[in-house]
Amino acid sequence: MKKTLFLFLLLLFTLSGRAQLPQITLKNIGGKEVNVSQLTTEGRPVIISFFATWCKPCLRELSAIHEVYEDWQAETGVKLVAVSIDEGATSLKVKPLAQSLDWQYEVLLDPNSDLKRALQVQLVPTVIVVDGKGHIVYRHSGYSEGSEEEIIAQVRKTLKR
Amino acid sequence: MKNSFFFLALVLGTTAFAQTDTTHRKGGEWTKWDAAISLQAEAHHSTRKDALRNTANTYVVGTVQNKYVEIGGRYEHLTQPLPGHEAERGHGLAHLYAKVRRSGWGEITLGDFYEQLGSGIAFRAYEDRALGIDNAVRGGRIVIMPFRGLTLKGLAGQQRLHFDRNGKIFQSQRGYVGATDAEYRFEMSGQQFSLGATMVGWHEEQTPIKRFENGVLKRFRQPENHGIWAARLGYTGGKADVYFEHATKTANPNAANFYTLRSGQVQMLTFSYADRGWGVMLGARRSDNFDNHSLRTETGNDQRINHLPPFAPEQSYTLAALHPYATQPQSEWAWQAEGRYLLKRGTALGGRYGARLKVSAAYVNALDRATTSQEAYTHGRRPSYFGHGEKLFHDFTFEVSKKISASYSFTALYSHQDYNQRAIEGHADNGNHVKSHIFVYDGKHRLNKKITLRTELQYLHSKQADGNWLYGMAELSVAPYLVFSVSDQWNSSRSNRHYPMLSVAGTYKAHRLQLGVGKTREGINCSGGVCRLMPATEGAYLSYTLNF
Repeated sequence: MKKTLFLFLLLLFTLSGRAQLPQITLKNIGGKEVNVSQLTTEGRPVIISFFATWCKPCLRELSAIHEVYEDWQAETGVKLVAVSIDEGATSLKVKPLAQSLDWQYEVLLDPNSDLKRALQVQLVPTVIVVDGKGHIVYRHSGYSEGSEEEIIAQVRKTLKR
Repeated sequence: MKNSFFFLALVLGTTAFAQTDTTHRKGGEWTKWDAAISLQAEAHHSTRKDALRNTANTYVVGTVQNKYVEIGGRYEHLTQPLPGHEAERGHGLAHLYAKVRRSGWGEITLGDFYEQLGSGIAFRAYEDRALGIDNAVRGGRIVIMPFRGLTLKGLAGQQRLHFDRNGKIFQSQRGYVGATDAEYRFEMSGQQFSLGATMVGWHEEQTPIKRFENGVLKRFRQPENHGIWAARLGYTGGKADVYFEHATKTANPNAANFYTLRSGQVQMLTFSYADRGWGVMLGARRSDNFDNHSLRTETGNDQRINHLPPFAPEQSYTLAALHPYATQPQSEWAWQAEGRYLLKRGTALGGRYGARLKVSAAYVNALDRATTSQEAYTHGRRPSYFGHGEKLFHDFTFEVSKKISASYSFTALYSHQDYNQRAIEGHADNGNHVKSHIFVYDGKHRLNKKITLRTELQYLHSKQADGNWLYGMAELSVAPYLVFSVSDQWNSSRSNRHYPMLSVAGTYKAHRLQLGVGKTREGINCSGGVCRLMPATEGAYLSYTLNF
């Protein structure tokens, strides 16, 4: 069994490239469908932040970014896409939350964790930075105050590539 | 245990090798392959005499895909699983699938898959590792989008029950499930509408059950085929959202409804309105005889056909979540409301930095009559539609978050809860209804650009259950890599027991390692309204996750 698994892992590694965004369509809080693989068609970097309405560190991270989001956008053109993993009727609390906090982010709903699973996100908050060509270049799980500086540093790096 | 660590070492060793190979391959869409692997390992070393010394849960997920094809799998190693996960014992390739797709046309999956139809009221297959839930369907699934706005789905197969297949593709002793769904979405004057319909069916062989009929012991003949049909309606305007879903099921005698033969139903209506700086959500849900499993004898979390998340706030703070409400799908009338308001900067109440207010309320009662064991093997009696029975739960919570200066902000919360322990857990300590007042202070001091100190102080006052609790926590984060925390939960009025915990978490790129030492109390762990009782633990905890 272990031998088979080892060979399977080797096979995956030989195929390994820089992962891209998956072909998954989610609804945004405006009720419109958004194809995740098309998020970077404008050639700008994207930050994907997985969160839930009950997750305090997630909201702390998104609030911290909210404070500097305008500066980040002006400097790098980055767009933040917040993906809620709230389930069932709880996902209906996401729009009032986003509006009341005056978020300027694109907010997507992932109520059965399809995108979360496709990007192999194991816990929230998880932040993924995607370059303008759609390659995943950085990911970070958990939030410690001030770690948003690392996120924008990674976004800046994508512009130098 | 040896095996677990061998496996972990193997994967970590391979990781170091693999990370050197990250060149991107050029070529057409068919030849442009991506591969991704993630690892999650949770281990516990127990110092309790009545528990296994070393336990671990390890999961490795791998996918390889191009634009049209995706192959993926998950290996699980739980030969000596963590406390509370004993039923999941086993190891092997638990999840394996192949998918072909064409964007805008649809997709076909063979193997194991997850799915949610509508809001999950009629059908939901999903995974929640913390709670040991995985009801993935093994079989086939097809999604077709014949024209813009219309999505058709069909699926059939057998749900997973831990490792009971013993290497075979299906477990022949268990039942099978199938579902179809149609959703049509359209836009009118900038407003989004959606209409949907679902049909779910499952088949299960007779369970040998005997009953007395006119004084003679006879075999109870049960229906082998069951069905749910559901319809839904959604509206999303610029500011207002409305969602309604109704589901009815055919007679489905099972252990959860004392083998009564009457049908069941659930309705849910929610409304939200949000504008810049504020938002409200109101909702109601009625559930009658709607605990559905593809295994008739199951009453817990395994083999669920559908999912009814809790119609109550999901509390984040430890003591506010001490008595969490679990959905009672057999008999429930649930109401909830939530409002959020942003006090703007520069106003009298908002101050220099503004403030956030949140009010939430939930009120849950049983229906006016519950199904009893006296109705077993009969058509039973239906409760009235609007009748409310005993109270199951209520929660009123008020929360304020405010930034006082550039370096200090706080959140304060008050919550009043009434938790019907007898109805929800089947037993009660010091009174059926646990009524508690909960106070939380959460303060954040930014000491410099890199270092932040967060402190939590929580107090729960109750005359029932375990009485009063105090909780204190200090968390020092050193951005962007390290978080140290120390906490203690203390039962100050009855057992006088302390549950201290010391932990350090480190994050570097896609690696996250957390080490903890301490004690946890026996308690209910909930996620999405599904709860399970976790045993008390004492010792060291290690958690490691990796993506590449």
